[in-house]
Amino acid sequence: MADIESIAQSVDSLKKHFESHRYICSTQIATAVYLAYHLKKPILIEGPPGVGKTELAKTTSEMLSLPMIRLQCYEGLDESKAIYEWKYGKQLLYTQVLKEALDEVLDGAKGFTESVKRLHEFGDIFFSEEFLEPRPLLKALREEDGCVLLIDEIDKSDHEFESLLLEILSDYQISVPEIGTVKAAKEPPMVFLTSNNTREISDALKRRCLHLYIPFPDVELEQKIIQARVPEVSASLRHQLVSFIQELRGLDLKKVPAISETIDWARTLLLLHADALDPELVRSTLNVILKFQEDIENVESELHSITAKIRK
Amino acid sequence: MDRTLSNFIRSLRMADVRVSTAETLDAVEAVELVGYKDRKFLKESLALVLPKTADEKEAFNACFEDFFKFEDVSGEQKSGRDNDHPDDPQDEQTGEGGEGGSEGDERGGGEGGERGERGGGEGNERGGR
Repeated sequence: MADIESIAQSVDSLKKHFESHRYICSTQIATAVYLAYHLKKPILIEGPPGVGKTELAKTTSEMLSLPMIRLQCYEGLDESKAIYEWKYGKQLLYTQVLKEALDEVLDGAKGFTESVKRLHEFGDIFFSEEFLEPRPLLKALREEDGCVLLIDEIDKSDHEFESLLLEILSDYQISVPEIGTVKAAKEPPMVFLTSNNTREISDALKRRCLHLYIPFPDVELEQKIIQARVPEVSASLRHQLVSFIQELRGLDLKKVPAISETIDWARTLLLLHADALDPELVRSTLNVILKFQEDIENVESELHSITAKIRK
Repeated sequence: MDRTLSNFIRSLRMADVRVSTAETLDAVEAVELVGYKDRKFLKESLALVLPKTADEKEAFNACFEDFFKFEDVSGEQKSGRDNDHPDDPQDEQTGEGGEGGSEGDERGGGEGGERGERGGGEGNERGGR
């Protein structure tokens, strides 16, 4: 069990621990996790795809040895998939099985009113803990020693779903009508929400979170990331490929390559035993970093000038 | 709540950053945790708590640079950390900076040049602690 208290004692310590888990982060990111831990606030992470938003949550759970509970958002996601559901099948099965027992219970009851009264004595057994199926949000609240709750791609969910989240985000509790309010165990979950900015997140939700924007990294940081993730790549090649990617980000492309693409590319070049970038090599591996034919064609036409530039 | 922070939040609101009461309380907690000693740390912490959109972040950066002109806002001894970090995003002030001195020394001048130049701005409230 990791000593969370000591890992989270300072921003520098968090940064170091992230690095030892091969997640190289800026001070801003480490500060966000520091504040989230000490102020017990959720973090809303925005930024382009592939800069390590989800990875941050994963690494945090690994680093703090906390279980991770993940809720992937999509259009139409609702209460029954996010918070809880009644085990309908089990309820049905039990009523079948209890049919005979029911006869016994009702034996000798005179009239309808008395039968109903006897049934009432059994209370709401079918809507009790036994028949409750907890979904990610409820599960996260019930983790005794805390956990990392990742609500991924919140912008994909419907607008209404955000409102469902407000209670858990501000008070770490959820109200289930049949069983009452479920409060977080003594250690509330560390909540990470990610968004790719496909739509504006509501103010109400933003107000309850720390807001972290992760941009594309600068050359220096990206080189460090490659060094951590693909250490086998030589320093000179690392420098070249990172500079190349940084050049591409400056072009007007449909989808610019993100860190995940840089890492994939570094691995590809490693497999090809490359030790320097040349136009031919880049051309044959361009489909690793660019995902649109249009982009590939655009870059191909400028390939020579870009490679010349970065080899200087 | 200390006056420095409430003044700062007021100046943020004037710069079109919407700060709710709840967020103000968060900022108070953040400052209690982080303190005023380390300027960069303070800035990064408040940047997580107060501005919530790209536009607001930009306005926040400008406001912060303007408001907390001196590194040691608390008036205590300067902390050991190197606060005069070169990657501090300061691009927002280049506009106002023009009146101080030549643009060339905006960055290169480092600490000294920075102070002299910004001293020309409107007399800002600072460190009421």
